[in-house]
Amino acid sequence: MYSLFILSLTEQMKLTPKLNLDNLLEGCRAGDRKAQELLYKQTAPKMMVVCMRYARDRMEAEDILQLGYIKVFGKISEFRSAGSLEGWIRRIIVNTAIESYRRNLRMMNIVPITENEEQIAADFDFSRMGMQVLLKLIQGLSDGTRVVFNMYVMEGFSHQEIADSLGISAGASKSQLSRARAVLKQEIIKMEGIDYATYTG
Amino acid sequence: MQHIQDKEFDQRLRDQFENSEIELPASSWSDLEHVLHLQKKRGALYRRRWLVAASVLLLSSLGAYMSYYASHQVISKERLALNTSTRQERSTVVENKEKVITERVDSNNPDLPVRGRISLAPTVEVGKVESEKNDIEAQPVIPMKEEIMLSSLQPSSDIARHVDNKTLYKPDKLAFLQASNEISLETDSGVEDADQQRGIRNVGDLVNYVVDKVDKRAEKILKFKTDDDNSSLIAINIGMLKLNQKKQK
Repeated sequence: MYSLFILSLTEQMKLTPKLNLDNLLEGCRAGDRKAQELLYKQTAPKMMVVCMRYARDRMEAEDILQLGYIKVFGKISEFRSAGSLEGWIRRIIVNTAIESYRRNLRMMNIVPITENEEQIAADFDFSRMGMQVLLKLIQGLSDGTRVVFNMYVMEGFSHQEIADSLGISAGASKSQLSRARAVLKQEIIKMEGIDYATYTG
Repeated sequence: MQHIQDKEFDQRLRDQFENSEIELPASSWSDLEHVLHLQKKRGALYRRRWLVAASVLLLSSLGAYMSYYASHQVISKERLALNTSTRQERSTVVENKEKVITERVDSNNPDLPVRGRISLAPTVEVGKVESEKNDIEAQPVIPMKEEIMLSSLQPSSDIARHVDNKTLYKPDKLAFLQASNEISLETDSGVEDADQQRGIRNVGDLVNYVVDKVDKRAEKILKFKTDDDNSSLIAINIGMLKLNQKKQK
């Protein structure tokens, strides 16, 4: 994974053999703006997707991205080459997004869990929806629900970890996740339209 | 009825976002670069402020230490000079007394052992005393004040013959008392000077700074100035407060 990333980085950035990832890291550690720019332009578009999932809109996402990269360049000397640089940057961005949510904490709308009667058909083609549409749906979730959904589904945190991080109970985290799934499924069915809703039985 | 399960739903969503990218505006990097530049400047400013603050603190503490050390050294020198002068005065007094006593003892009772002399002035050698005796014999001795006092106390020369160590010791006792009185007077004035230099260290010093000094042993509590028509408070006795009372073992 790490070697693939270096290869992709080298190819996409059209880096000369001399300017490999190590040189790029050395440059970033030394505070070289050119090296920082190269790293940013290579990794920021992917990180922007992460930010968009956590934010309510693009503006908030750009703020989180900027804050995240300030931290990345400030802590780049702490990065050990043994791990994945992209994974390391992603963790920082996710933590920044969570911090941003906690800072702007609004009242979490804990909605009682009501089982969604409607179910998405197994053969529904997600690829037809497109990432942008899915992003819109996720951004439409309430703040607390969106953060819990992202942390559990996208980042793989456990409910206890989410509870500790957000200062809520594990039960509240489960509740928020169920709510997020229910809302998303409902929205997908709406978009799917009656033609795609194939119920069996 | 086959419906999509939660885990599968989650996985499909994850797949949808896998390796996805969002194009960033061209100004994105320049904005970030600007913020990084500002942050660097701010960091340098903070570092400079800390450096200035640390330097000021260091210099002020160094200055305070130097002034304290200097004032302490002045007091020590004054005390040293005072001690040296009192010691010199004391030794002069002792030497004079020794001369007088030696002369008197030798003239009155030559068989009397020099016990008193040894105990009173151990640094004076016997030979030296004898040579001094010759000098004294050659020249008339002008007795000092204590000698006159002692001779006035002794009614006759017969009594002087039976003089013992106690009577020999008396003039020295007086001399020492006188010397010690002189020392205590001088040291008192020296201590007062030192008190003025050492500043305000406790409540008593503060009261002394605000109002005049009063003897703490005096029974009066307040002291008024009555020189002018309007009497004014000039001193407060805080002796009864017993501040910083030392524990007696």
